[in-house]
Amino acid sequence: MRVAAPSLIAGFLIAWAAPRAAAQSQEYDLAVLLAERHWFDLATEIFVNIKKSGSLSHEKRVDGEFGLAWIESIKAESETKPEAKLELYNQATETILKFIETHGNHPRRSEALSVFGDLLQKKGKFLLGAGKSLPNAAKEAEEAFRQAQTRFLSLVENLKKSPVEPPPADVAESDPRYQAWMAWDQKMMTAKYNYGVSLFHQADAYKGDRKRFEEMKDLIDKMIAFFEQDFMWDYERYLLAYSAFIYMGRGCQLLAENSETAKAEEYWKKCFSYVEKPIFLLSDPANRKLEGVRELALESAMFTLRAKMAYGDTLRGGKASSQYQDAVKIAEKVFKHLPPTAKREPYGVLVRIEQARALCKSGRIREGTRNLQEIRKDAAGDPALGWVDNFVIDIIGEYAGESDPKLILESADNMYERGPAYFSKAIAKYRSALSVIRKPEDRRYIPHCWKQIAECYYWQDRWIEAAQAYDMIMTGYNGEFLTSPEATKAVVNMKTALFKVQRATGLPEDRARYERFVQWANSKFPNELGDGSLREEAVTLENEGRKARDAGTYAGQFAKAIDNWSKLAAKPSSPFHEEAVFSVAYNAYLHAEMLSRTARTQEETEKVKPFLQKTIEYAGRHLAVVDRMNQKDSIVVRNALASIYFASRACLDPAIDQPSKVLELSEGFESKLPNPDPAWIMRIYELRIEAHRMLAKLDGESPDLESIKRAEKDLDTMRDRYQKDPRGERQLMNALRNISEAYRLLASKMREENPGLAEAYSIRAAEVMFQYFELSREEPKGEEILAMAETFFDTAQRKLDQARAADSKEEMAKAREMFGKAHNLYNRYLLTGKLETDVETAIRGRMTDCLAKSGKFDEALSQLKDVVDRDPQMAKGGDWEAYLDCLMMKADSMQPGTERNQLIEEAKNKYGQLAAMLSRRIDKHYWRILYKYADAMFRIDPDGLRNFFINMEKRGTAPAWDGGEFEYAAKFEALREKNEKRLPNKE
Amino acid sequence: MIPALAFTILTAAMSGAPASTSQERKLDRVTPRKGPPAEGTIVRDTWKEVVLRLSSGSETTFRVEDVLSVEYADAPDAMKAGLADFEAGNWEEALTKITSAEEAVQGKGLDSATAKKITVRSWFGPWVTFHRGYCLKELHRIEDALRELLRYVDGALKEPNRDSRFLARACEAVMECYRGKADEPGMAAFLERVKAAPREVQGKIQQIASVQQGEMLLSSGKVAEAQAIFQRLAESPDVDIRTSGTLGVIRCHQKSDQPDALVRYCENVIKTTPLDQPGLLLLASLALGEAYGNRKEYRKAVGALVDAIVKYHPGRGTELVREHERALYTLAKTYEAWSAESTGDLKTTARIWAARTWRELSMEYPNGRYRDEANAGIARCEAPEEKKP
Repeated sequence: MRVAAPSLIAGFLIAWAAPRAAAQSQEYDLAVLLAERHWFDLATEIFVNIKKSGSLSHEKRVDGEFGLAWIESIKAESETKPEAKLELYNQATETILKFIETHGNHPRRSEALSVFGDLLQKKGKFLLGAGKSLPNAAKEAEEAFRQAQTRFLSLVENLKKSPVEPPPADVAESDPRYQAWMAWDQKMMTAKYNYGVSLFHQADAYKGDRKRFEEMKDLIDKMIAFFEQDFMWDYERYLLAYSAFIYMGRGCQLLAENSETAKAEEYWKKCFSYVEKPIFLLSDPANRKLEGVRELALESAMFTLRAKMAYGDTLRGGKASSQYQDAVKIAEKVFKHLPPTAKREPYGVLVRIEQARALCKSGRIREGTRNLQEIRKDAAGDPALGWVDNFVIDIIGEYAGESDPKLILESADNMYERGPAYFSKAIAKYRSALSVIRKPEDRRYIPHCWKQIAECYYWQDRWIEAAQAYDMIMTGYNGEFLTSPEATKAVVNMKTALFKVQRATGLPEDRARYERFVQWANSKFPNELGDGSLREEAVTLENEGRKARDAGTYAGQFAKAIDNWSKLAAKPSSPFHEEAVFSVAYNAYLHAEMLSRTARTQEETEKVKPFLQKTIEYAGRHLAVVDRMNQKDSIVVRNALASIYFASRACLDPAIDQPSKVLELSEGFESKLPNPDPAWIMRIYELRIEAHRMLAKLDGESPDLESIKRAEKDLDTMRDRYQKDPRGERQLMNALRNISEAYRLLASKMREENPGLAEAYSIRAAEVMFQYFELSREEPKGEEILAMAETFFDTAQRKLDQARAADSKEEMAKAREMFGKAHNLYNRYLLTGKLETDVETAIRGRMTDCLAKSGKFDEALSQLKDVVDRDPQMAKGGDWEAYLDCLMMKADSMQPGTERNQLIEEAKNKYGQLAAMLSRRIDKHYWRILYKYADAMFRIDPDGLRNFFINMEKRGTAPAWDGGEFEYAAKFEALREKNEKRLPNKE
Repeated sequence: MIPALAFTILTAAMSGAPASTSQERKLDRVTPRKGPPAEGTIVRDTWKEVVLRLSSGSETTFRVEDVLSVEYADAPDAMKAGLADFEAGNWEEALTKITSAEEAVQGKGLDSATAKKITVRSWFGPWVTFHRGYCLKELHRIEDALRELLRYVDGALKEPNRDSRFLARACEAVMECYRGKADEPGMAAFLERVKAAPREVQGKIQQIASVQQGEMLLSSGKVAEAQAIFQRLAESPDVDIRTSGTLGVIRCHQKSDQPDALVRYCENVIKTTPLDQPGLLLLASLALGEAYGNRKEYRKAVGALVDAIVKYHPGRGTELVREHERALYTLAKTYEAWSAESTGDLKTTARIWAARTWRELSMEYPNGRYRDEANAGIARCEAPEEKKP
């Protein structure tokens, strides 16, 4: 019997089965959370503890083992390097397989099977994508898919052997019977879905290989039959069913593309009947609100558009065109039903790209390329959409670049920028551009094309080819381009290329050619070539300097490089001028750094300063040169950023001590330079913050608080940037630590003069430091965490006292937040290792306190009640006091009423008992508890309190009380006075 | 991050790309071999010249040998796509699309949703006939090809002053068909037939016939006779004839196994041919490179072959692109052979050059005739660390 499922259970596409079982210990869940956040070490430790725990049952201990196996799969998924990723996949599959084989009867076996199947599938897909970068990738992928199928089928069988009966129809969703059935049903659905999908992926691996067409066909037929007969009926109302339809459609497309025309037509029909289905979900407004539906619809649209275009390619004339036009309309229809933000989602962007391609194919090229440019513009600056540019430029280059050299060049330059793997494609594009240059005004692109072709060959060490391409600029076209800017750059590289050729071949004819060229080039390019040699030598010295530095054999190479660079820097007309000016600054800094490292005497130390000054001087000059440049390419921008950075470091060196210069150099730098690299930006901001701190003169008599405020402003900028781009994490953390330290120093300075302000600075220091801890990927040492936790606790306590005194809800809220943070930190401390019992108890006590004070009364009370229930004799007064204080805090947070009064009543009575227990030894604890007793009474029983005071007087305790020793005398009397004012006078 | 499904993203096949943007452009376009394209309305397009009426009303005349390409504004999409395939040497696809274009114009094969009248000018019919015939020839469907090409030739001869630009090429194609069938009587009869062609084009047709004659002589082993014919043709003022003649001479030298003569000849061609005839330069450099390679003068071979692939790319859409592919293949093999015969650093360096050239071949001509050899070459020559992306 099928239980009525909720209409459209969203989400639940292929996902890792996070191993949460019905009854989970806190530690287990915590470990899962930690692993999901990639804190593998901590998670591993917890799972190990569970595995080894003496107090848990065997079954629970095996949970730990499963957790450890599961972590391997997460690690594999998060690895980016192909070889390492494959190794981790293999390791993970081995580990989980071992678990499956060892614990055949364990409740987690199904989950393990699911994880194993997922692993294999993901490994297969990864291998298919890795392609040529890994040997035997395709074969291994195939094997992985096969194994995945076996496992998923095994999981299905497993689940069938232990079925869960569907509950009666009138059972509520919260009923355990319903929950159990849903859990079983969803496991079955996922296993079946994954099985079907793995059939598709294996078939997909055979695509393009005609010899394996029959195998591919068998797999796809099997998948379609399976989904139709064994899946859709049961799960048609789930999103996974619609995802399965997409795979069925894609499978039919594979068959259509590889079949004879008549059969192909059949397959195409089926393809469209399946692949478009998810799009129809959008016709229901209720469905459109579900994120899972929207994502699936976009995915469906993308594959539908591709299928339409592929089908159109097989047709003729108008029929083909109508398929392309259909594709365009489908995309329009889909976006009409979705919010505008959908267009920026990855699948949304893909749909737009396919739509633009369809426009181009149908002849509406102008519209298509315009759309592509818009997509490019929309995606610019969004790191998540960094892949868009390459896609789009390729298509634009393909369609609109037929006769437009500028567009082809853009595509070619884009390929060139992608690196050696794309050089061959780039060369073909540059050749394409050359073949369509006809207009006189386009001839200026000719030398650029040849230079780029040459560069593509040069950077592949194909110097013979590179030299020939450079030669086209030098001597081709009847010398038309000899005076072009490209020629001046090409002549140096051509010389190097010929040099390398003759060195490689050792042939006299190559040597002769090299010498002839040098002679010719010297006459045609006296400055450039001469400059080029100087530059070459300088670069060689720099490289040698780096090697020597790393090997510990530095012998002043950077200083020698400065000599060469300085000569070029003195020639504004040299093509290497900008580079030279920067390089003087850069090498001066490197040399200063080396001198500093090895300086032992005062005399040696003093030699550093002139080079630091040179760094600053030439960096300033460099920035002025860059400022005057009309066009700043990425290398110039990088040099400018580096100038600011190294000059700033020099300024902050104690030998120079000019922090204000740092701010001057870096003022508005982001807006002056196009597309500055985020990593450099963060480095510069880090130094700015250091400069602000130095200017604040925190050690002096009168610290400059405005400087710290300015530092915070720069910190805000760093944080905003970090949100958009994760580079510069280390710099941000350094900045946070720096500013926290600054506040701490300020707090310490102000403590006597202005305790309130000091307090505020302390709190701020703690807050900033907490951000540091949250950001840090490295697990700080245990003691650091404890220190941080204590700092937060103390600060929070002070904040709470302030809030109470001022009766400020806002301050109270801040205090609560800080207690919450302190709680997290104490918890992290507990996880760092085995603690002594009393320490652990103390920590747990603190944590409960934090819970209570952060407003989580019930949680705290629950923990405390466990403790006090075990101590009816009130032997542990501290625990009882914590419990009663928590009751009072909860009561204080409530509205006046019976429940509140009941809590206070309970607290009052227990305070009284506790005070009575403590009365055997009158000390600060006794007075404190007695006061709390009185204070509780004050809230609910003023008459009772009056009587209390009368009795205390009769006993001689009041009005002396503690004699002022613990400052309770004044408190009691103040309470008495307050109480009396409320009560009518008694005769 | 883009979804993992993006692994399976494929770029769609580009073969349907239209050759021009004239669907959005209402004007015809003439692209000369030198200089920028011109747009207007073509008023005459014959074996002799293309006359273009500009928007100003004035007319520009292009000699047919100066014309690189002609695009008609009223070309149906399928025709444009078909011509693009034709240029790329995708004969099957070109044939399908050109036929489809014809059907579209005739109102056949459209469903009611898309049926609309497509009107084209008189150029269309002859263009379809010629290009279809040529495709059929390339697909070795000789009888069908002859039928179409002869229909074209007859039409052009009947009205040489309209839509007859491909007359010379059609004659050449017909002769190639007859040569392929070794049908000398057929060839002779055809040559008689074309005597009806205008006097001005007779010379070219005769030269084409000479090329075919030379080919036939070469095939039957009469190298010296063939060479004499080709030598004469190599001096023709017509670029295409000159190229055919030069290629013929080169092949004669190759066939007669006269490496020194071949080398001398190729070097002379390279020295005397201007850069705007990259096709000739490519052929000569390639032959030179092969000759040096056969003599194991690897450095010279590499020099010539590098010139061929770097400097003398013949341009997209020309038949000589296949020769460029062959030049890349030959260069890769030459580097490998050089590496095998060398020692020390040069052995390694040349092997690296070979590996990179094989890779260039596989990427530039991924569906080419040397695909498998290129992949094998990469596997042989690339060091393990080079195989990584």
